[in-house]
Amino acid sequence: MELQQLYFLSSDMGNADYQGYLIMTKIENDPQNEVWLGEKFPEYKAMKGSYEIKRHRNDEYFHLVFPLAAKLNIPYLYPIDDLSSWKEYEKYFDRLQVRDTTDASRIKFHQHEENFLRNLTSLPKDSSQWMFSNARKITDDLLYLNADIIDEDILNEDIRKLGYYWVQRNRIMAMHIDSVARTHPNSRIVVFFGASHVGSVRAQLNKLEIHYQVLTLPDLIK
Amino acid sequence: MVRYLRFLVFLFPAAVCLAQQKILLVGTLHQTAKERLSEIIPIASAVQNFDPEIICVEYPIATDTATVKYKGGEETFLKKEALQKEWNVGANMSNKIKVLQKDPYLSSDIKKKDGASTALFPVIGYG
Repeated sequence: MELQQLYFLSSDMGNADYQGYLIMTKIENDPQNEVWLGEKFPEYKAMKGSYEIKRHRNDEYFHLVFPLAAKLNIPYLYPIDDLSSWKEYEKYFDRLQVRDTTDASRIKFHQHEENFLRNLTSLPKDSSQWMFSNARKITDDLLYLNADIIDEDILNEDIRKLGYYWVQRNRIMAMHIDSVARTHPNSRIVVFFGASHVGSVRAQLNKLEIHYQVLTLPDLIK
Repeated sequence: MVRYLRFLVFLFPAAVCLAQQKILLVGTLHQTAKERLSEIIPIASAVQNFDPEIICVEYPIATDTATVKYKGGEETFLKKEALQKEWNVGANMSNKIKVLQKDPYLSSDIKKKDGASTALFPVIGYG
């Protein structure tokens, strides 16, 4: 609990959440320990609240990443996100939400989004949305959705700026992954992030000086 | 001799591939509908078979002030400083973290969880 508190105070939120998960699953059927923790650590209630909300929302960390890390006996998770210029991205994203039926570039751009969402929502119940989102075709399609790849006939400046900030974020994420890999040479690394990042980060990792073998789920699940 | 060299040239790309460090990218949905939670099972199995030694996650790096502020708000560092005083947590947090990370109780605790498979994947019952 002390470690969770220190991670929280030092803004290492991924590991604060992971420690919170470990604590909560340990004391699940141990009311005595729960009372003791609540009395001894003032932040216990907040941690428990956050754990319950995220678990209830079916957050992937509480259902996949943290259980897996615990099972693999991995004590520390390496954060790699970059949102340093995300406010700029959001500015262009918000501007593009206003539909404009006179601009051909914007019509084409929104068409990608609509096609993707239509595919996603029309999946039969027994097919896997997770595998769908990791399929090579889809991760490539998602590059268009975030303006990571912009067709030559797209001239709209907002779309170009959106693409610029999206690529910037993914380039820095790839640099963070590279930095982790360099400090742990020969270690197998798995990265969990929203499916939209797969294609973009893969492209950025493949541009690096060091040649990594970058795999995606379809490489493991045929 | 030439045949032997040809054989080596043939094997070279495979050897390079084996020596390359492997990075597996897994795309998540952030929130999965309850009726689709079972789809996580094959993903979890595949990643477990990949046997990663390092896990990277889409969370801010603690030293990246701009990202931490974006996620936690402009006042996040001030709020945490106030909490640090309120909870009587002294300075040198990074040293304390290093000491606690080495605590054998922590790793043995995680290992114990390896046996408690039902608690690990509580909703989907993955073992």
